Amino acid sequence: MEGPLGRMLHLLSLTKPRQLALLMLTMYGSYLVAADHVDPGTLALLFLVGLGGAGGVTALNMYLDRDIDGLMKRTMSRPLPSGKIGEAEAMAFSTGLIVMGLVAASMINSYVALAVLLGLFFDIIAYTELSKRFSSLSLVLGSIAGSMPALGGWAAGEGHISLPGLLLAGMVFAWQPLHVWFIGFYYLEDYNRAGIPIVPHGVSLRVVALVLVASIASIPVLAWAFSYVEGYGYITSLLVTLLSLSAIRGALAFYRDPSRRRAFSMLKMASPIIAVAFIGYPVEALI
Amino acid sequence: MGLCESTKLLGCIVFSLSGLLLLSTIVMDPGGQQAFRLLGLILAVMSYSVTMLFFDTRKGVIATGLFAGSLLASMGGFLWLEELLLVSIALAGIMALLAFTGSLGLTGLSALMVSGFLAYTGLLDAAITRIALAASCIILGASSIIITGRRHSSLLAVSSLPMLLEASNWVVWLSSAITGVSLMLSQAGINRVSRCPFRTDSGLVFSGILFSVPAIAYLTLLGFAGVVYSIWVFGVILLMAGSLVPQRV
Repeated sequence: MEGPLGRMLHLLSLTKPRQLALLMLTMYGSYLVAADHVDPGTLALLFLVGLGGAGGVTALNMYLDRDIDGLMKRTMSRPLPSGKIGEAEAMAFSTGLIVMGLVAASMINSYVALAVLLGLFFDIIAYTELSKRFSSLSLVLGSIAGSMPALGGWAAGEGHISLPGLLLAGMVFAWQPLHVWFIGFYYLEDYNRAGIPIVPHGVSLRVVALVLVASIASIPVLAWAFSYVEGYGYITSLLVTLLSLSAIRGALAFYRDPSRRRAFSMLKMASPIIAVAFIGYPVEALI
Repeated sequence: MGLCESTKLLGCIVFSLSGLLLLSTIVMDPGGQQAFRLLGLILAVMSYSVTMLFFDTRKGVIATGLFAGSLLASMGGFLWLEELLLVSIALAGIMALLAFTGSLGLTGLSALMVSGFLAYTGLLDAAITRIALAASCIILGASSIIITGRRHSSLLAVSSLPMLLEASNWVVWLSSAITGVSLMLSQAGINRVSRCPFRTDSGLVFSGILFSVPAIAYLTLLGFAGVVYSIWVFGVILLMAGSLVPQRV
């Protein structure tokens, strides 16, 4: 699609709408669990926080990665490497979004602004610039950034950061290796072509499997810890446990037979775990 | 300076900046807004861990000990322990900076940190503190010429002037110092290093200036505001991002 509308759609696609939707879910889920009463104004501000804080940072990430995106089949048709939008346009869009998110976050409270700034720092400086192209362990730093929307949502609801909020953010952190590493496995050729040392680069498959199993296993541990601290959410924690066990089984099967087909099925298995948690806990909090 | 040295330099600079940020957040603590203190602390820890990647072992071990002690102290929440935290941060920062003898810019940074600490704790009276700050400004200006290789870049030290004009306002002068140093770094000093894994992105640097400088002006003229402070931090992060764009070596 051409014209201003098409251009706007290209710009919006820089925020990776599907990923943004999942991050928004973790943010709103945390908020609904933490808040004593749901304030419509805060809900609206949180939308701007999510769009600016998560979407804007993702767009800035795309701007910084435009050179390697052009080398990978999976990403070469993105708006920047394909030339559908200009570099200056993308940067103005992303920085504008982030400022909007920061202003909205500061209007809620300073802890939400803190979460946005930490997400920005970990995603752009620690992950994209200092580690993504140099180490396959960069994922750890990227995962911290990914858990910030959940932390920000909690801070918006409760007014500060406390243990249950950290446990929810911890679940997102522990979940991300499952999500990202199987993207890496599935598009391994692409990553190799761009020279990005994604796992299992330099690491044996056995070590990868062990780390994956450990990270997936920690999701239900954090879920039960959350239920214990808050005194509810047991059904959701049970569902998260069942899904996590299934993912562990899948990860072990992948270890025995590391094929693209299995990587794809693991990829599909990842999102429901986090979706169930961040829909289930708010529902149980209401009941 | 080779690849490794330039990377070390970057790590130390980022650490020093966040150390200053931590100092500023601890000192001002506006209305008990712990979030900003937490922000400074986390950024310092993160940046420090990045720095550690590039340290040599002996200095690294000592500095880690100091920093770990200071973190434990900060968790204790007692005032005297916070002062210990400041001492530890300053010492760890100076140790990091001393690893690069001969760099006037980094000496200026350490001077800023020490004078900030001394002034905060009241160990020096106001007049001497101002002299220390003035010396820091001069070093900053001189080092900007040396690092960037351009005389006009000494103007960047102007961004540190609010420190002298508003010496009683800690938010202003520490924030000014960080912005000044960030501006200096963004002036392609890193880009001049051969085989450096990073390059400068002028667009990002410009955006960083666009956000951080008006924010500093606002903080100077109108006082502290959480949202402006957030935008200033955003500007500083953009400046760092603009100086650290990765490239293939």
